[in-house]
Amino acid sequence: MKSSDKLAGHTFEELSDYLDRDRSPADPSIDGSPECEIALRGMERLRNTQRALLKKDVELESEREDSWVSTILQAISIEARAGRDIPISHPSSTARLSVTEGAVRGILRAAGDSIPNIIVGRCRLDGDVSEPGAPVTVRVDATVLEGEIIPSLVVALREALYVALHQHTELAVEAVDITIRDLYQPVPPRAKASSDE
Amino acid sequence: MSDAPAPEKVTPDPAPESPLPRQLDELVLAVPGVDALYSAAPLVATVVASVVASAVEAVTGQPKSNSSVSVSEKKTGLEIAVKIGVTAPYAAIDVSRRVHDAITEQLDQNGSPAATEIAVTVARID
Repeated sequence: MKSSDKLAGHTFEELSDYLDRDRSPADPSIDGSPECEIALRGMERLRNTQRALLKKDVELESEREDSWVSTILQAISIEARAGRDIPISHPSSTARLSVTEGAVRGILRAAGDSIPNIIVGRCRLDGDVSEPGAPVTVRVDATVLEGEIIPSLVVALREALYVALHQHTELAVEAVDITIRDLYQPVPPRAKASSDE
Repeated sequence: MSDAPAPEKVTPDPAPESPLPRQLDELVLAVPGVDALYSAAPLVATVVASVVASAVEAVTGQPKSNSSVSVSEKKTGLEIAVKIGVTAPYAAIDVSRRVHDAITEQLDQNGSPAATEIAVTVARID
């Protein structure tokens, strides 16, 4: 791993171990980093989803293929970085207010993950976000529970993303493009009794 | 008149830390919607400063500074930098403005030099 891939000097594996240890003993270099915190929150939400699926699988004695999880973990790691500063206006000439791109990606991911049966993967802000009023396109990849009605989930996701963007930024959002890249498996039906029973 | 040399002026070393950054730390954390305060200095600078401060603490016994708000005194006035985390249901836009205004008001109350720049960065939103 390159040092540039680290968050506040920590690898993603170190952050994962820190979560495993329930953040104990406390590490100020992790707790004091907003980038690490964004990544940890994203990992926690993903783990909760995985845990719920796993519980159902264990109950049904089925096996699961969760390759989509590593894709999402990778996106969380990359996108937790602070990135560009997105300006916030203020009438005072002394004010230089901004929200980081990483914070915005984090809140978009959280808004998406709050919708049942959809998990946000990659999240990108295309356009000159550091220039007030410049048109910006938000591009989001997501994974959806197999069997769900994708168009209605996408409508709900787009709505949630717009609300979050409007609440926390002054970005001139031209479009929110959502791509469903993958499906994760629902709880599989119980294996049918063999025909010769 | 005595020919004795004037007594040497004794300056405490190291100089005591200005109370302003710590005061601003408390002030910013009290703004509704702020749930975290991060070091406004770049990571490398923060680590180096922490190591140096620990060494100073070990030698002098003077407690190291833990303030997160950065205050620089320039010829033209103060430059202040703050990095915060914002919690729901507060909006990052409103909270960052309130932090700026609270700092301006505090400087006025203190009679401190005017700020030429107050940079507030929202680094995390929950």
